[in-house]
Amino acid sequence: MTFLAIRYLLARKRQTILTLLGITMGTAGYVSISGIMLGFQDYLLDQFINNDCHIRIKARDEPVTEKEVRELLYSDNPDLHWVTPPSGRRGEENIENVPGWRERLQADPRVDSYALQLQIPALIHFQKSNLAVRLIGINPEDQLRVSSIESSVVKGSYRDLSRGAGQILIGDSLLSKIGARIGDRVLLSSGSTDSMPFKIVGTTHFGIKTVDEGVVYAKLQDAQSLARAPSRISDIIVRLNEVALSKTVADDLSRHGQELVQSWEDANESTLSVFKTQDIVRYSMTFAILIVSGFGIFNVLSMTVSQKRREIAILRSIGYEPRDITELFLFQGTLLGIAGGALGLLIGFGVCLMLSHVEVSPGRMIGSGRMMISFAPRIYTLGFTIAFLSSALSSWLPARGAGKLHPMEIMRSEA
Amino acid sequence: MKVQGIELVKSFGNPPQEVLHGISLEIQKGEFVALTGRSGSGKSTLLYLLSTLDSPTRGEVFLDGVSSSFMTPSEVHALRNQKMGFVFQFHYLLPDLTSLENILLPARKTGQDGPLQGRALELLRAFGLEDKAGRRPSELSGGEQQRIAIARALILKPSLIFADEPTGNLDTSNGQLVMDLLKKINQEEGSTLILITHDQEFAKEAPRRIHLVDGRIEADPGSA
Repeated sequence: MTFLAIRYLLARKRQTILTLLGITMGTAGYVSISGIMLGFQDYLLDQFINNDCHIRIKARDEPVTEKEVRELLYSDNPDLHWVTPPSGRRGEENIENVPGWRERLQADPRVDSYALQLQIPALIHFQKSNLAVRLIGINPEDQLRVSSIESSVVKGSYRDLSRGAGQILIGDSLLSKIGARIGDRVLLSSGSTDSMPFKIVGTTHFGIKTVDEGVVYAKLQDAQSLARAPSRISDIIVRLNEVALSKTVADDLSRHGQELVQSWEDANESTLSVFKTQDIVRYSMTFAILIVSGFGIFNVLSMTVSQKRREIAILRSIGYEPRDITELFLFQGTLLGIAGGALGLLIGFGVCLMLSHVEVSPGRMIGSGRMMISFAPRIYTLGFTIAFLSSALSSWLPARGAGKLHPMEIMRSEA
Repeated sequence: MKVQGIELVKSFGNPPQEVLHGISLEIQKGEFVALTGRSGSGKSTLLYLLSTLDSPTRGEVFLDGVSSSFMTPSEVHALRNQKMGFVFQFHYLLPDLTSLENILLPARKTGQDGPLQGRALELLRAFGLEDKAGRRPSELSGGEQQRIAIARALILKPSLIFADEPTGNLDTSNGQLVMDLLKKINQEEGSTLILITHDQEFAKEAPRRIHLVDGRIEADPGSA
């Protein structure tokens, strides 16, 4: 029946083209919007997962509470009244049992590698600029195994960091903010301590504004001596063999100590929920467009069926079966879906290709300075599937109705 | 093909109204039978019962000795496709197909449209329409359209042809042309021909005429 279906479609060119246009635009819209949104999402996810870590073990901030003090010190005195209730914080941000954690992480087969860090707030001084930054002390070799930080170093060399003491990498926006150049010397201080001189050996660019403007990388030992805490560790970052396991492993690890264990999903929860909203918007938009074109197909086919009643009767009388008649109309709808879907994919691909050359303001938000567009095959397969299914579904009802028409009833009503 | 109807009753509507009151008849292979009667006499209903397009309320239709009520739907469809040809008053050509494609439509059902293209062109030539093969029905006159419809009925060399007032919409000369074609097929190919007509002149050309009045056979001169 394909032959007849194509004939029917060609016989009413304008309707066919309009319906086709609806499906094409729906599919093209889905592909290009998904390309933009997923491109951006993939980029950020890559940042979260690869430039940071799969799991972060962090010292927990624990305030001293009234209840704790009472239980510990005055449990036998029920009549105690505070003049000034106790307040304060316990210790510093510090992971207490580092050797224990090392042992545990080494024993876990799911863990690929880990690295120790000390993160402290610091002030950076250069000439007249004074800015608050976050100083991250890293072990350059270990850090490389966990994150792809080296690829984010845009000027200078990551390897220089391990060459002797007193070297730092700073975010590229920060560099221009303080007005320094690579090779310049800056002073870093951590609040109460004296400042120490550091040499800028390179800049990093992660594409995330707060990081590029406020993070300084130094060697772990340098950070520890700046903090006057020789063996202090505030964070352990972990890379797993399987990213997908990060939540389970994080749950397992959190049972081992009082430290805060965060999977990358937990750490970026708010951004991930934005992604979800984006996805909902994307799907509902596409859905709306395809529902409209689905109704278009439904209307056109229902009309065609009633216009072609006589032809259905003659086809039936010369031996075509109900199934053939159903196919005749079903094919018309699905042919539109297939052609419109394919055309939509092509147009969507073209739009994506064009967009991927569009320059957005360089250095802000987006890494390469160009729009990040996803060309993931799943966008295209899903786009085509939606177009096909919506057209098949919307032609199913009129087609089945046509198949159920009885030739005699048509002839009697037409005569 | 031999056609038998036994005690055929057909009622329509609600409450049921009987249109045919138990008609029995037997039409031999190769016969040419004219069904006559006023409109409402049930002749069309009888024709459609005999052709399996409609099913009787009671009674049975035997085609070459086989009861149609014992055939599966696909057997019935295959039978209509392979063994029967239909010609209607409103020829019912598919307007989006050319003459040639319309003629080949029954053959297309079984994928025979390729091999039978030659026969289709032959039929066109025999009907004096060889130059109209690529035309759409809307470009043809009524008589030409009806001849195309007859060619379509003949493409698979049916052994049984049903014609429901094939001349009803045609002027006398075109009507005569169509009648001559049908008669020729009946005589040369030995196809059984069952024809409904209002026109007494045309009815007289049939060796056997069955006259229906109010759902009953009133006269059947020429029956064997």
